[in-house]
This record gives sequence, structure tokens and C-alpha cells, in this order.
Amino acid sequence: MNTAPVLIDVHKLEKSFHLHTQGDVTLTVLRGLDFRVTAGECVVLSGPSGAGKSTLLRCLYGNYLARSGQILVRHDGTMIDIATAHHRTILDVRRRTLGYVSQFLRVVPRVTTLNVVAEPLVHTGTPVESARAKAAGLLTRLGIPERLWHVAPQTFSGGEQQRVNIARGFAVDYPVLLLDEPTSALDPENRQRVAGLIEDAKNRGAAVVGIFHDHDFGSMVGTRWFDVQPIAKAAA
Amino acid sequence: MNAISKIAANDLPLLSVRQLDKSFGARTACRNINFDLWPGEVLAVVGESGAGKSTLLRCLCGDQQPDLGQVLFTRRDGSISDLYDIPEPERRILMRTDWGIIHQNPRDGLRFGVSAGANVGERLMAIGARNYAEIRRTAAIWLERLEIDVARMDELPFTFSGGMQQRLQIARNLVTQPRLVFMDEPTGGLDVSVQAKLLDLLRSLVGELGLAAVIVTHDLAVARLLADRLMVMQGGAVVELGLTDQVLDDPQHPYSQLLVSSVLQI
Ligand SMILES: Nc1ncnc2c1ncn2[C@@H]1O[C@H](COP(=O)(O)OP(=O)(O)OP(=O)(O)O)[C@@H](O)[C@H]1O
Ligand SMILES: Nc1ncnc2c1ncn2[C@@H]1O[C@H](COP(=O)(O)OP(=O)(O)OP(=O)(O)O)[C@@H](O)[C@H]1O
Ligand SMILES: [Mg+2]
Ligand SMILES: [Mg+2]
Repeated sequence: MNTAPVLIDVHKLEKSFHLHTQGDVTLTVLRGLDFRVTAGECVVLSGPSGAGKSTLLRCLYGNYLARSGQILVRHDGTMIDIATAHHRTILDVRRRTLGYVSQFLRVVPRVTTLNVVAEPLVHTGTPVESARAKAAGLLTRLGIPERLWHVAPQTFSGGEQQRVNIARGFAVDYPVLLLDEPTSALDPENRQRVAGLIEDAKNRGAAVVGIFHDHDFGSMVGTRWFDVQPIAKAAA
Repeated sequence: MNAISKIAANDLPLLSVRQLDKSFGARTACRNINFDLWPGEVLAVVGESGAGKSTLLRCLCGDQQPDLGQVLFTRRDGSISDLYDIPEPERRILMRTDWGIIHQNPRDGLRFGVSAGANVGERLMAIGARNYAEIRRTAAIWLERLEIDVARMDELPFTFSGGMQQRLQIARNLVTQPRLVFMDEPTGGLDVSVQAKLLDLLRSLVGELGLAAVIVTHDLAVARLLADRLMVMQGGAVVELGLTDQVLDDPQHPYSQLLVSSVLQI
């Protein structure tokens, strides 16, 4: 019996896209989805391409708007419904509770690698110097050589950018972590390093939801699978 | 008590716009605009040419009285007034101290007859600073912060490049430590590398100073980089308002969908 606190609790989530500019089609991707994750779990989403795995993560983050249903996330000890919360509440939840790591780093011109990684911590109120120290630790752990820390990651290789992105996503010890194929461009050694970070997050009681292309990687870091299957497409 | 009521109890919007209308003759420029802006929040306004973005900005910053509706602002002491109900001199003071206005064309926001240093110092004098050495020192700090060589402090603005003029305009506005800044296409007319530098500066200044800002832009990448929320206007009306990444990645309104799908990648 799992008595760890529930950090994510999704009820009857429905998500559809109404494509006004493409023949007014309505595409329903998720329907009646129930999903619950407790502290210390790493739930790996499985299912075919286009089934809606990324859509689910984006709904959890408030990046996609739910059509109906509840998306409860534990924040400061209270369950907040991301589907209906005030925008300032969502921003606060993202700042302190919800981390989201996608496949690609969104680079900001002229910002150095060290600052790209430290930035989310600074936004939680951590002093710049300690944020940078933590960022340095993560970059070291992910094998980004120190000579790259003080340049902007725009010109980095795909794998280097992806590791910078992961370091940024793990800078804050978020209680909930959403990972969308964060390791797609990494070699086995670097994947192993990321697995270590995920392991640490679980051990400190984070709830992790991940999508990983590599089945073995999913089996290694996951505590359970959650299958997302395409629903019958509803016409307009 | 949930998080929403906690926030609501702790701070008030800096600006509340209610049912704002503005027409020019038969042409409606802004129709029934409603929104709130909180301290430290950056709002980007996008939409096609003629949608009413600049008109809205002028109504918000005190330059253009709307035909109908209210622009309510919260003072530092917490009291709330309608911008167009207060006496003209008070509105002028507010615009020069607590607010900043950065125009697309530096000619509208700078005085070309006086030096760069004086352009910055002037705003300090307008709020009562009289010590010349002190004013000059503060002006120098702000020029430096906007990456303008202090050695060029005594030059006239026309000797500056477009990007420098724009940064000078920003220094002039920020020197009084405003809480709210209005910008109309602040990077328009600059080339891409100069834009990037300006954006990076704006981004860190907004973050460090906790500034609230309303930024009109036609560039969705600028909105993605700078703004917490995005407002989409069409034909004088707000058709969508939401978290920037939500509006860009999952736009709801037909016009927002068209706008987002018209650019390559943001
Ligand atoms: N912003 C969007 N607008 C319109 N349709 C979308 C949008 N995002 C996703 N979809 C559609 O929703 C469906 C699910 O997409 P999603 O990206 O969630 O799949 P996935 O399971 O993550 O697939 P993959 O394994 O290939 O990444 C697809 O048909 C996709 O085209
Ligand atoms: N002073 C004015 N007199 C008459 N009509 C005006 C005036 N100012 C604006 N308009 C009209 O109001 C409408 C909105 O103009 P506005 O300048 O606000 O658009 P905008 O969204 O800023 O466009 P752009 O992206 O081209 O700058 C337009 O139809 C414009 O012609
Ligand atoms: Mg996906
Ligand atoms: Mg305009």
C-alpha cells in the first residue's frame, strides 16, 4: 500500500484541438483520462507516436488548455487545479513546484550557459552566487566542460544543448518533474548520468512523469508504466 | 485559504483596464478592452497592423483619453484612481516618474537638442533632483547599465546609432525607477544583432528591477522571450489573452491560430 502523498491527480481530462484554419476540424486527443502520481514515483508514459503523451505533459504544465476535467498538482501543501487556476498561480506553481524539460533547449541570445542553468533558481529567490554554484555542479555532473560555461549555448552540439537543458530543468529541486524525451540526443554514458539525476529526484520524494524513446532507459528509471492509447477520432 | 485568495489579498493589480473604447470618427481603434496587469508582470500585445495596439498603449499611458471605460492605477501607497480623473499636472508627474514610455522612434522619446547625459538627467530634475554632480553620477550609472560608453555622455543623441539611441531612451526612462513601462515596438527598425542585445538587456532589467511592462510587438519570438502573458488583438478587440507559451503553442481563437501558423518557428 502506497502511503506517499499524491502530487499529481488528474480527473477525466479531455483535450481537443479545434483547428480553425485547417477546415474547422476538431481533433480530440485525450478523453476521460485519470492519472495519479505519488511522491517518489517515476511514471513512464508509453504508447504509439501521436497517441497524446506529450499533450498530457503539456496539459499538466498548463502549456495546453484542457477542454474539461481537473489537473490537480500539489503546491505548498494545497491541490491547485491547473485547468482553472489564475495565471499568476500557474506561474508560481511553475516557478517552485513544476519542472518541465523538453527535447530542445530554447536558447536566449547572449546568456551564458552557467546563467541559463542558474536562472530558474534565481527566480525562486536563491542568491545568484549559490545558484551559479549549483549550476556548476550540475554541468560538471553532466560532463559539460568548464570552458563552455561562460559562452552562450547557441553554437553547442545537439547533445551538449540537451545536457544544458537537463541541467536547467534540474537546477531547482522541483517536487514534480515532467520530462519529454530529454535524452533523445545523448550517448549511453550521458544517459546514465541523467538516470542518476532522476534517481536522486525520486529519492528526495519528487514525482516524475517521463516520456523516453528508449525502452531500456524507461525500464531503468521508471517505477511504473502508464499507457496512452489513441482514442477514436471525433469528427467536427 | 487557497493560493488564489492568498495572492488576491496580498497585492493589487498595478493597472486595471475596464471596458475601454476609443474611436477615430467612424473607425473603432479599441473596443471593450478589459484586463489587469500585476506588479512585475510583462504583457505583450500582438496583432495585425491597424488592430489598435498603439492606440491602446496611448490610452494606457495617459497620452490619449479613451471615449469610454476606465484605466485604473494603483499608487505606491495602495490608493486607486482613474488615470483620466486625476488633474492633468498629477498625470504628467506620474508619467514622468512612476511610469516609463519607450517609443518606437527614439525621436519621439529623446530630446535631440541636449546631450545624452542631459537626456537622462532631465527626468531626475523633473522629480526634484538639484545636485548637479549627483545627477551626473546617476546618469552615468544608467548609461553604463545600458552599455553606453560613459565617455560619450556629453555627445548629442544624433551622433548615436539607432540601437544606442534606443538604449539611451530606455536609460532616460529607467533612471526614475518606474514601476511600469510602456513600449511600442522597442526593437522595430533595428537590425537583428542589435535587437538581440536590446532584448537581452530588457529581459535582465525587467527581471532585476521587478518592472511591469506592456510591450507592443509584431515579433512573436520577442513576446516568447520577454512576456509572461500575451494579448492578441484584431480589429480593435482582444481576441485572446493567456500565458505566452499557451497562446503560442495552443492558440484558441481563429485569428491567433492564423498568426502563430504564419511564422516559421517561435
Ligand atoms: N498544438 C497542437 N495543435 C494541434 N494538434 C496538436 C497539437 N499538439 C499535438 N497535436 C496533435 O495531438 C496528437 C497527439 O500528439 P502528441 O505530440 O501528444 O503525441 P505523442 O504521443 O507525444 O507522440 P510522439 O511519440 O510522436 O511524440 C497528434 O495527432 C498531434 O498532431
Ligand atoms: N490619430 C488618429 N486619427 C485617426 N485614426 C487613427 C489615429 N490613430 C489611429 N487611428 C486608426 O485607428 C486604428 C488603429 O490604429 P493603431 O495605430 O492603434 O494600430 P496598430 O495596431 O498600432 O497598428 P501597427 O501595427 O500598424 O502599428 C487604425 O485604423 C488607425 O488608422
Ligand atoms: Mg511526444
Ligand atoms: Mg502601432
